[in-house]
Amino acid sequence: MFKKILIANRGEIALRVIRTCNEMGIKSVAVYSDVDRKSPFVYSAYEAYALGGKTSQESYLQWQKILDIAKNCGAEAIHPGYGFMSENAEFAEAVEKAGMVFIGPKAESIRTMGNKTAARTLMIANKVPTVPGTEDAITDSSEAQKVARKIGYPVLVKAAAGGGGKGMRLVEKDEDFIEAVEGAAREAKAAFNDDAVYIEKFVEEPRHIEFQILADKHGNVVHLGERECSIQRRHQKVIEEAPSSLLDDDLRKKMGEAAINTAKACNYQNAGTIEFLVDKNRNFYFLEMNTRLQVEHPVTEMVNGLDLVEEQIHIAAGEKLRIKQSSLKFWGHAFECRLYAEDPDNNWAPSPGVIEFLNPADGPGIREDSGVTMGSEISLYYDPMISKLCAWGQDRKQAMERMKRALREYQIGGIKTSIPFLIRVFEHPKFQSGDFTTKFIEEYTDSLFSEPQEFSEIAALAAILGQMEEKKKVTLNTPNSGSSKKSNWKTVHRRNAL
Amino acid sequence: MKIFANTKNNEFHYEWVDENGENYLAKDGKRLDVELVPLGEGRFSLIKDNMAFMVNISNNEDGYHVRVVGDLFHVTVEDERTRQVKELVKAASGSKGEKTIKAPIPGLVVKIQSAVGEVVKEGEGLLILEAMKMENIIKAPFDCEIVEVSVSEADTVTQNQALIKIKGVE
Repeated sequence: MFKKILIANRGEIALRVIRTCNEMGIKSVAVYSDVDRKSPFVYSAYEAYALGGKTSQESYLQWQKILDIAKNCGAEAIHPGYGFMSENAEFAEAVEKAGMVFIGPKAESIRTMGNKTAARTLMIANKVPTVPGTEDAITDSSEAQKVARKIGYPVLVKAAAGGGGKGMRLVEKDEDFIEAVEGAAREAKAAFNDDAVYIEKFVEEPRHIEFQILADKHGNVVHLGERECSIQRRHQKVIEEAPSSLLDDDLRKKMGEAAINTAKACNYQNAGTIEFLVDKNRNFYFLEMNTRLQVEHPVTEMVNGLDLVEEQIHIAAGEKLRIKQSSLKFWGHAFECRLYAEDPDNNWAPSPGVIEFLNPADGPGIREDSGVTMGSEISLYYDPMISKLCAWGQDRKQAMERMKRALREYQIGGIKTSIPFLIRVFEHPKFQSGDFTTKFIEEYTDSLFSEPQEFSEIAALAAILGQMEEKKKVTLNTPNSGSSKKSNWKTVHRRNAL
Repeated sequence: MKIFANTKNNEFHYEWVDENGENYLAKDGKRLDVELVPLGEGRFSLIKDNMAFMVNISNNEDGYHVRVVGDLFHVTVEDERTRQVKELVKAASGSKGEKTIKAPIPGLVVKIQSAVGEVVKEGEGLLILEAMKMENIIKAPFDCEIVEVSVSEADTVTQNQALIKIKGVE
């Protein structure tokens, strides 16, 4: 087993890997940007090395620097987390060349599955169902439009090197096509330095269901059941759950087998996720494979009791899978909510700032994977996710009630968050009954982003009494009260008069 | 003194009573049993008719952001005098005057979707701003005409930088 692992990532996922390293008696090494110097993952690690820089490009994407640190500190393996270098085949190769182990798949698998068109071709060859669309990436938008017309609208425009919803556009009408392709290409160029896109048929009433797999270096592959990630906004997952309310044992078995076939087709090793779309007739289609640990892996852990990071490390160390498909057990239901720093006053745009107060949710069945603490700054430079809040229950209803309770309990000050919106989702009858598609948020935008009726009078009273508190403070600070502070009386009353 | 609190969906009327040096809040002539106790960091414990709530209050230029057990409310508070002043100002400037749309967040202007003189409907995109790794569409807050565009595509903008000036249309 490894004695020392470097984590080439930041925030909650770096902390998540460090925790497992600590449990396994492995020394963890953090690397950090100037912005992250005070982050919990830095002081939680056994060793920490500065990368310098602020932006991702200046820090966590400086992989030569990361490799040098790993070699110099004696790390035997590198865990890439998700994002950044996790799906960079060159980096995986360079790690192995430098005599260390990349905790993830072989570079060849990353390359194959990272190129969406190559992955589709491989799936078609291996009889895994795929969505109709272009076989190859397209750089000429008028050429792409011809293909879109041939397939028939609605179509999805997706970045060939894409992921995380970047470089993706849904086009419903021919006249919107060119602008959508240009937008997707721009976003893809900025995010992945590759503006190639491909077109595929948009599946109607789709549900996004993915299967977690583990594969060792000895040809053994198991799937750990599914996660439903249909609740998405701006093509980013917002809420995930395991198991899916849609699948029955028969469909689960078929999709699980397809997931295992996918992993075998690309000689996969380590943890990976095969994403499928399931249409209104319960047909499923291969969407893509994520060749890394996923953000939403905790919901799988909560229903099967495994530690996926620990399994990743055992596999990377060359051990055989410690679990068999037949011996896997699942119990209960789990949800994950991604809490984002978002400003409802600004069309829910990302909202950076400093966390002035934090008292996360707790209690029965709650797990929080967070990379922040009181005083942490949600910076402009990285993703605005604050934390992943998970709830487990004996069944879907109990898990849902626990999540609602936890969201209402979560106390955070100084920044605006997506919590009010998440509460609306969990209160929505369609979500509660499991009757939703990936368009859920679009379909119910008005009610999900509205102000509720309940508690509105409490809010009104709080504002009035809060204002009175302010005025009292000002009164106490007038010169006549003996205070040395300058009077705010005029300022306050002028402001009130505006 | 009459006092009004507006949330997005409701308006509440109260009286702020000063009786022999003691101040309290009343509704329809009846004293309200309500108490707000500060806990620090903008957090308060509010008890109304023995019903207990945790609330967070923060100010912004448009009023108050109040979180009640996770739900968020925008509340504006006015007394009779401020309401009268506001109405006079509103009457003088027409129903929806000019408004400057500012950058909610530092970022890169990737596309300007509207031109000076163009009339756009509420909710339509004005420009696309890339920030924190995502493209964000800045939308029209109401039906309006574009008065001025202060930025160009590929400009890097700072937080609160003026982007577009709009004027309400009936």
